[in-house]
Amino acid sequence: MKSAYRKLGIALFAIVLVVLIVPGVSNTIERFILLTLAGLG
Amino acid sequence: MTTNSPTIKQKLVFVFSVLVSIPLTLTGALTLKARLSDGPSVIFSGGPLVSGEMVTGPEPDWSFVRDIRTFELQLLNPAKSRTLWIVENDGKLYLNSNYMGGIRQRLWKRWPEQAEKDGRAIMRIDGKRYERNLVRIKSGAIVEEVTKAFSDKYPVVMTTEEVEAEELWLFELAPRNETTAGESI
Repeated sequence: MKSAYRKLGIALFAIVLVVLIVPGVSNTIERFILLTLAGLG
Repeated sequence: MTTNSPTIKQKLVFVFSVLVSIPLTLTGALTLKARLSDGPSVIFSGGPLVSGEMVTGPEPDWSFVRDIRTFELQLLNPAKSRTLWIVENDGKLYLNSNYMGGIRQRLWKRWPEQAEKDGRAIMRIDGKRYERNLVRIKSGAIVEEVTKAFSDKYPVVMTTEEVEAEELWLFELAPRNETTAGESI
């Protein structure tokens, strides 16, 4: 399990880096969240 | 030779950790990204409005705002920005804040109270920035005019009763004048 948690930690760190560095990713995710919420609502 | 294979409980805890940590991390990263940006994002409030010509001098003709759906507003204290609706009425600009009725809503949306304490702000419309003072409007004939202007422009119904009940807050985006910062009418 230790290895699995290490992989999860690396994946979370990668998510943060991608969101902060890659242009357009944050906008795309936010629009997806909005569309999902609108769909649920 | 023995192997420590995870128990079902350990697997469930791990799955729970994944399901909780990914959305939390994503939300945190998106919030941080917005805070570090010049202006708000689609959902999260952003950092100070930096880019765009700062327009000074006499008040412009605000009639063009009738064709503007949203604008960006940044308070000076704290220096965070958000996207809001705006109307023009009789040559003056107004913005609104809905859902101000309960404690939960006020905790969730704190900028209106911050603006009431210190109304100094910067707005950005069509890429140009303007220094403003937010002056809260609570009563008077202007309330009816502004709520009607919002109701005509946007797909909502705003009423004077909501303003009186403090469920709907209205602010005038007055020109910057140190003596009017944070005033209420």
